[in-house]
Amino acid sequence: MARSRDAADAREDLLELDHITVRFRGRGRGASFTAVDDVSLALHPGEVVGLVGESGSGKSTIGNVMLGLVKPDEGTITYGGRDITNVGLRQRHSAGINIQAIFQDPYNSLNPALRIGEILTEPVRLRTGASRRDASELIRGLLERVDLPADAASRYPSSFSGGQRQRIAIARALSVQPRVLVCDEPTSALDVSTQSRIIGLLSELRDELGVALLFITHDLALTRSFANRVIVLERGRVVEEGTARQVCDAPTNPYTQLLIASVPVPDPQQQRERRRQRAALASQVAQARTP
Amino acid sequence: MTIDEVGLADPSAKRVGREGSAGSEGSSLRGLVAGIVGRPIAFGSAIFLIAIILACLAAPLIAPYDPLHQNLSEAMMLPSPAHILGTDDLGRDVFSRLLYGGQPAFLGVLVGSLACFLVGVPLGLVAGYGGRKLDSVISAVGDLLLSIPSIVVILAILAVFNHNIAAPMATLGILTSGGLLRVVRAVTLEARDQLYVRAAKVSGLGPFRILFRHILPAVAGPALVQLGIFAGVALTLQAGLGFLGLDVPPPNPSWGNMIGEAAHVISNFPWLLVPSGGIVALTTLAFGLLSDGVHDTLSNARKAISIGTRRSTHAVRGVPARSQGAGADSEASTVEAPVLDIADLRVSFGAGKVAVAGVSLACSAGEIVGLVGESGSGKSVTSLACLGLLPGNATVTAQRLAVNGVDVIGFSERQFRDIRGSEIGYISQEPMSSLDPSFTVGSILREAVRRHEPRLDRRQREQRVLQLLAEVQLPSPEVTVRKYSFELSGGMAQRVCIALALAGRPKLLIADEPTTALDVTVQADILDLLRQLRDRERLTIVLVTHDLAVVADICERVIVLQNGKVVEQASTDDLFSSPQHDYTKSLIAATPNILVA
Repeated sequence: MARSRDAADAREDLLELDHITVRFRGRGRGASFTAVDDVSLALHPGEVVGLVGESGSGKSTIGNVMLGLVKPDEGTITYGGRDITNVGLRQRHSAGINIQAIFQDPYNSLNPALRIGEILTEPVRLRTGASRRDASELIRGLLERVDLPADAASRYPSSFSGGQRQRIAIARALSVQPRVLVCDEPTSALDVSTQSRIIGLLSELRDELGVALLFITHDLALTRSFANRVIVLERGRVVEEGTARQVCDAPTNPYTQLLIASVPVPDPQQQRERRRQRAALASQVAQARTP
Repeated sequence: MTIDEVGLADPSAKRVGREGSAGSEGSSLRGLVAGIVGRPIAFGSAIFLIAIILACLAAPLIAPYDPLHQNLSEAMMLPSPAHILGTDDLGRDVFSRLLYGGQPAFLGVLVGSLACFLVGVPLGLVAGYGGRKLDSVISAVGDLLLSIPSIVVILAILAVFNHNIAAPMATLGILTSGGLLRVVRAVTLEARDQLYVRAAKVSGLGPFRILFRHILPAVAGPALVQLGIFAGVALTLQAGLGFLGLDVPPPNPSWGNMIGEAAHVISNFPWLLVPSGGIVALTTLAFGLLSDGVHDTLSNARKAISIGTRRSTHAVRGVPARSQGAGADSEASTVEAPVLDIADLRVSFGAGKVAVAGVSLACSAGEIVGLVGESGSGKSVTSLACLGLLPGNATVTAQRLAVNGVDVIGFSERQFRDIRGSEIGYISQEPMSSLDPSFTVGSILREAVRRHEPRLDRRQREQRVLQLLAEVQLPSPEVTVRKYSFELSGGMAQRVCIALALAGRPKLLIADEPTTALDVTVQADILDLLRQLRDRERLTIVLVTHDLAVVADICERVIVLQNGKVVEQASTDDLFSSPQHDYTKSLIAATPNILVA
């Protein structure tokens, strides 16, 4: 998997996963399940890498490895040239590692018992040791940046819609000025118009702050316009990677081809044609899978 | 509205279009207080307890007599203006003695609750959060505490601390803390996996901060419920100890020894048992009812009771020309009666939140109609109204609401139950939570077949189940019938749900975001299946969705809803080639398209 960085070698790798393998021990008889199998990938500043796959493909596990929530069984993680594979989650802050996350479910990712102000202040004060006053100043700016009303800080999560909650989650992640942002299906629980606004906000932030984004999604159509590079996973293995255009327009792997043909398009005529293509591909992939 | 707000919080489930649920979270203290104030029984209990506790505390100020003052000339008197609860066998004022006697009672409950809380909550938190090894050790300790016969230990403690209240109650608290420990541990285990806890970890928060800030608030409610129950138990037990003369030294009053004294004279002065026994019974009851109220507030037990639709009295609104019934685009509907016919449906929740504001639509046999809109557009509420499945605080009116020509306006829950499954089938966006994990696929389907075709014998029923599974193209139905829902993939579970919906051979299938939680390849398979079912059975399908790409794939006709109103209605080809309404245009533009960018 060394081909994960061909074009971008000139630039410095910000975060690099090198031959990562993660196994989950099954219950009982010690059967283990390989969730991630020898995956390598690199993130550069200001870049969006789309990590695409179906459920069970290991895409969220890779995100959790980056965040330090899951320890890989094999392979190394490098951050700014340093090996951080064995740096624990709590040591990451003092080691100057700043990777934040936005999760899928905006209804579950904000503590319902805390006001928005408290939710946002917590990481800021912990990371920067800012005074209460400075922190609330910063938060006012952040809320404005993600287009939320200024009085949002004094309200509870229950009074916000899904899209607004996701904006709050983005503000929380940004409050500590991360260099890498792991976005795990951040828009799959949102309406389409909300989704496109959140994607718009994320790409603005990428341009402004030069933050690198790992964009985990099952929606290939989203990656085509948003991601710079796309990595396709099937059962823990990388089956295809390349620029978003390459992968979406001219996939070479049969699984990727099926995945792309299965994405419906909002055009009935084209969709009829795509349905026929998909049927042909589906039988092809099914044949390849049965030994 | 969201019926499934609490309970099965599945972080991996992809939910779309859940409407905002302001104020439904009971986890904040303010929400808890508001919830209790809103429940008359719990609120009454709380007021009662507060009043009793304050009165006992203020006994030296408000008690009309010295509780120890004897007046044998006025012994065993029934209530009178001078002694409002009468006097006992030594002529002491019962009311004053009750007030003073409550002090040791509540002191005991307080000490016991504190002991229970201080042992159970920290241990439960550590067991739930500290990893597997700590958990097994602490849980074993908890089980051990629960297995010790508390009354024996308490009597032994009393042998050492004679006439002491705090010691036996603290012992009881510690011994009972095993139960609280288990509850706290379970809540902690659940809260630990919440995304907001994960976010806190990623931002570098230490375990103590996470426990205090993010997990303790979630634990507080269930712990309060447990403590409420404990308070009742402690009070009763303490009364028992007092009855045995083991609590406060006589002649000082306690509720328990007052019951004991009353028991001595029960044959010639039965009244004496009423105030002392009554206050213990009422207080115990109040503790129980209050913790019930707390529990209900937390679980927000708003049941989805169905209610009938009322015929609306106001005139039919003018419907836009392009959306005049179903007839405009399909030939068949001019001959056949529509399978689903809705005119001027209006639904509002509680005080004035309007979810559907005059929707009219019709679907003819064998048609696949998309009901499209964003969250809050009323698309799900419209479909639930057809099934009579709206929550109890909904007000539903319509000019016409007919399924297969049968007007369901004014239907009772029973009548709705008769048409659900046999006239209308329903599949939801979360196939996993639609199937009961404690039954096999086979037994779930057999139950449905038995309901719809009671005359089939066992073999025929089994046959029908296998046939249903084959109809939804599950590979090897004989194997699938023996599986539980958690052994199925999302796609397979949705196929089982479709089989379940088809068990009563309905003519109309309402599919509410049936593929939203599924992978794209599985989504395409399920859409293929729905298309085939339509072709084979002439099934009418109403597809509720937010995804216009899915609509483009499967629907012949589209109805676009916004803010509870139909804004556009057209054949799928027309809608995508020449959308009329701005909202439709913006929806199409916002839908990601893998071919364009």
